[in-house]
Amino acid sequence: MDINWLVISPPLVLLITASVGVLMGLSFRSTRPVALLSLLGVLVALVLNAQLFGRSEPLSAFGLRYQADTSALAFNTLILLGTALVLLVSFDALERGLGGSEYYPLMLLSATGGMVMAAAGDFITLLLGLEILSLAVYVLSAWRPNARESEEAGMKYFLLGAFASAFLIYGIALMYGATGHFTYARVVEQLQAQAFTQTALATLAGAFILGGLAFKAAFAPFHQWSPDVYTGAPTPVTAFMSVVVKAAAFAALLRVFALVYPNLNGALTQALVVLVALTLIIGNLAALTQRSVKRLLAYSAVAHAGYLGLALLAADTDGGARAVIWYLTAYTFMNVGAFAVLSLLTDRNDRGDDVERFAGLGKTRPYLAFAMTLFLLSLAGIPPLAGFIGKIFVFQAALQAGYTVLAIIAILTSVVAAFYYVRLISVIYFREPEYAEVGSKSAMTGVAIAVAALATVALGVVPGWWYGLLGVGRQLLAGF
Amino acid sequence: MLVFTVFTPFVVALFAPLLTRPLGARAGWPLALAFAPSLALVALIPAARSGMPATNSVAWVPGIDLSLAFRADGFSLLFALLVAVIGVLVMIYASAYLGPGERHGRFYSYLLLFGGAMLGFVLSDNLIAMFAFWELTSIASFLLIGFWDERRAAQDGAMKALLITAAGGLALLAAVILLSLAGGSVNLSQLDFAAVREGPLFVPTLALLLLAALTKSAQVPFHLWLPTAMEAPTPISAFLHSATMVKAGIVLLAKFAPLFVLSAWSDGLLYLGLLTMFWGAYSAFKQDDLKALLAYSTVSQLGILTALYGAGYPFAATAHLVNHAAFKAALFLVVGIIDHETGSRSVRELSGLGRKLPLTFAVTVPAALSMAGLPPFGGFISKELFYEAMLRAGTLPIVIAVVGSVMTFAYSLKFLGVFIGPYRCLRPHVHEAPVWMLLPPALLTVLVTLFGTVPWDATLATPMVALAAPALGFDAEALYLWHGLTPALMWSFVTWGVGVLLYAMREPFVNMQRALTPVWNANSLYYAAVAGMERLARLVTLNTQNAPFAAQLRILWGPVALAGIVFGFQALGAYLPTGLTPPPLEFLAAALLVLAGCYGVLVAKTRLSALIFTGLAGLSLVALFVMLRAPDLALTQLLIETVTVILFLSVFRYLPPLTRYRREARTVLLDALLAGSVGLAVFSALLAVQTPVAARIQDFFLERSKTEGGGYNVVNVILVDFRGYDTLGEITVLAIVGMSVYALLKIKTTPVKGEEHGDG
Repeated sequence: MDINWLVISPPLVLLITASVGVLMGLSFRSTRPVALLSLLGVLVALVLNAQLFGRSEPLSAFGLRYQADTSALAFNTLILLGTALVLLVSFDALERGLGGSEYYPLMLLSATGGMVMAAAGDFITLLLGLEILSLAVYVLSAWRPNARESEEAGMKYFLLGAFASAFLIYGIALMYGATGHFTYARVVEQLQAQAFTQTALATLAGAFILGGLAFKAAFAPFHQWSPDVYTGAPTPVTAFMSVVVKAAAFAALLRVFALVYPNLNGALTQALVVLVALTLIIGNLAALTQRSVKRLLAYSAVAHAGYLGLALLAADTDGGARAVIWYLTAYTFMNVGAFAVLSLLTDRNDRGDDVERFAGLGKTRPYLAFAMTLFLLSLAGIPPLAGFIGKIFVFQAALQAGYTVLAIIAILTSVVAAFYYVRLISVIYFREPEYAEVGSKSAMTGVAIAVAALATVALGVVPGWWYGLLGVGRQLLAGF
Repeated sequence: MLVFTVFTPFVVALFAPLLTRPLGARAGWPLALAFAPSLALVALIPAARSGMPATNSVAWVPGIDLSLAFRADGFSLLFALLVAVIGVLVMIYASAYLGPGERHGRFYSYLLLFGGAMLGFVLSDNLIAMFAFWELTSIASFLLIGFWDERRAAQDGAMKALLITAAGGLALLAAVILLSLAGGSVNLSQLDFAAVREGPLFVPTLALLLLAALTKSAQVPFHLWLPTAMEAPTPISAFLHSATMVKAGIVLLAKFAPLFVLSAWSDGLLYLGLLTMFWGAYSAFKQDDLKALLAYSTVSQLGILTALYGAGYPFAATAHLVNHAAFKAALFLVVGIIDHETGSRSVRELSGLGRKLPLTFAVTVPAALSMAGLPPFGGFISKELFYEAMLRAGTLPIVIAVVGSVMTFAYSLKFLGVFIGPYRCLRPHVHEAPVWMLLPPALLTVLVTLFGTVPWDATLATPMVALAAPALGFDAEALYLWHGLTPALMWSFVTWGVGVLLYAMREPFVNMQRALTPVWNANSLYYAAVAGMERLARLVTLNTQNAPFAAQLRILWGPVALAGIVFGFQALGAYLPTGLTPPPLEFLAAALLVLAGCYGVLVAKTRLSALIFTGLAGLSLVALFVMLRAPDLALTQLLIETVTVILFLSVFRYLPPLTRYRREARTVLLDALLAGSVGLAVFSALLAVQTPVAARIQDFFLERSKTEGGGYNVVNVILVDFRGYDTLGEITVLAIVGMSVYALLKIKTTPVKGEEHGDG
């Protein structure tokens, strides 16, 4: 068995940092030393990951079970960047009353799982990554001390997540039953073989796998958990879930949709079309009625899964795959940014996230208000910000693949989305402040917001660099 | 050069606040220099006229051909110069118009942002970049309408304008992507229009494109945003909402005319434009507020432009576009002066202003008469061209055109009415506006007059309109004041005659209009639509949010059940082994006991009884394993059963009593069906996995157990030898689990003090 240490070094560094972090947490009263250690670990992983980029030889470990192709490296970059930003946001939030330095190792473990998922070259590795990712997040969702909704969030997420994992496992078992293999490459080989007769079983397997992953990606109607969990969890954890968990889920979806699904029954693609349409409609309409900003952002996250799904449908084209990654890049920054701003406005115990908190922010905290405006405009897809370019890529990929009706649904729901984002902006600037004492200050969170804001603008103004990098050297997905 | 031209206003916008801090409103002067490069575009005119327009391109995203490609063809150049000239005038005007307490930095930044976006839009050759600039103009418009953000009406107007134009903008995005896919290029100049027309998605493409154009250019029924956009400061209304931005849709129609001219779409646009023209003029006449009057007048004139470009009369349309921009901007600036000096814009409160404001009056007359379509002003010439076109289009078009023009004539007189008659004004001391507020409208008025009096001049109207000829593909004719006694002129006489009559009868007519006003209009439709969207959203939310846990599980399991029903039987047929013999009776008994245990769990009233039933199912399973001669499995199962029971018992004491929720019979049936189908799916899955697809591995172990592992008990050899590392891992996991269980059991349960309840 080939263990290519260099290739697996980025997730390995996270794993080691997490283990050291647990022990280190025992010897300090403050959570900050572990936070700094974690940040260091993420940065080292980021460097190790970056140096794999653009290498011409195919990179893999464990006999194609861990594939460090461009897609995996790009997704891992996103996961690491997202984690780093969330660590910065957590730095002071945790000290303010969330407590518990085990928080950081758990987050790193979850990110490790996400990275493994993104690079998974077979179904078992995918499942392993998914479980590592999920278990830590279940715990993190329940992190707010003495908050019923946080406990509920953790419990709900765990129970429903367990079912979703069961789906995935059944799906994988069935796929093995149909093809006799776990590795994507061998599965596809079997599916394409002339003598292959187990089409029905493979389709059934595909349906199960789709269901399990759709849960993680929060496609409607499997999105039910996400608003509750997003609202109940501490804001930094919500930010983590909304970007890292989502990135990992889409990394896995992208790979199976680009490689395996084109060889399965077309009904599965149609099923995804229905899911995407439902996600766009339900996500955006439900976001419109929310009074809590956290919940609004939760539904907006659901809606963005819809736009990503649109690109996912075109996953077997190079443009579609790049669109998924690019959109997620934009989404990572603007979404973490928005949650970071929110985390500065809530109470000590992370309570109080209603729209009124934002009233008059333009006057009381102009810089924060400006950053939030930037993130919201980008989420709405307004030029020249990152979200806008992302929308163009997504629409282009979808229309090129022939999903005209779905693209039109996406456009109509985008108008609804623009409405609720801009309405929040108008609350920030047009309404008088309603809270005398507005939230807290944190230099580290400020850094995260600044980085996110800069990236949101930079990705919009010069999108070519990152987009070009996605196409450098090798194909995006190994085995394409 | 073009890139520089477009981006200068953007860059200057960033630094505007630096200048407004020391200079205040006067910063408008130096900031107006941002339009200097665009004024210098004059140098590109010869190239555009020769049909070899200047181009300039910067790569933006190489991967998808997204580049900032600019192309200064005649039409674009004409419009860009229009933007630049009016932009400079408005900046100068604003420097005197804005009071000392305003937020000047923000005002000029937004204005320059808009200027850059508008220039970018007209000069863009790349469709995607064109869309981006289009959206930016909507954003700038939103910011400027909401500039006086403490006013409720301004917030509402800003939101409405943004929603309608941004919705149109997104339609444009889809349209340009479809266009570039069908037309083989992302650049407008290389787009294959014929291929687009024949493409399978031509109809949706064109529909989306027109939707964008009609929303932006405020055509009925999307016109409603324009009158409420008048909450913006007046220089903004002059610049964005009459002269330039609202014409972006018209520009789109002009540039994409080859797609629809000479088809049924063309007729549709003709009548829609005429309807808008009529409705705008009709509504304008009704208004008391001078600014509202001009707003509806703008809607009306945009209708004329839509009709002309839509029906394929680009020459007349371009002539009118230039004329309208000049006289309407002048009139808006005049309203700004009146408002500034008298504190009112109402026709009812103002009269005889000509005495106190003679200069303003002198500036107004040519502009207003040009709007009315009287010679010798530019508006007359383009109205004649409009009539000629409508005469060619048919009877109905010319009738609507004349009726609309009669009202236009009448409201133009109404506008002039505030300057004549006995002097009336609320403010005691009224005097002329500062020179820098008078000069910009005066310059525009001079242009309007020159367009009419010397239209054939080599430096004025004719060559200006002719500039657009190669780009839009029309034959430029010379513009003349006197065409001879044409039918168009006859209709003009009719227009003036009836128009004067209508103005004389304005009181009864307006009263009649008020009486005829229906309780609903486009605005109430808009509010109803917004309210409807909110209602729908609430409905969706109520039905999808906060679903009870059981319902969420049903949704989760639904697809599996569906798969079970659809594929389950198929799979049973394919994988059920043939030649099965009935099992011995004792097997059946054990299986029945398993089932009984499962059923018992379902109906158990307490946790303890449920646990006992679980045990029953588990132990029956153990019995089955024994019967199947698998003692090791049986032993493992027994152990697990025991541990589970102990664990359960140890945590039961922390749990509240079991509550059973009542389910309706329907729900029970649904759940039973769900469970059955899921069972079927799982069973067929299990069966399928039994079918060997790879070589069986048993023989490998049987062969080598003795020779390589040194033991006869194959299972033991596998555990400690072949898969020794696995076993080591399992032992580790077991140890960790044991420690966790121990830790959990040791936790003392102290009730949480002061437990807060969620607000969420």
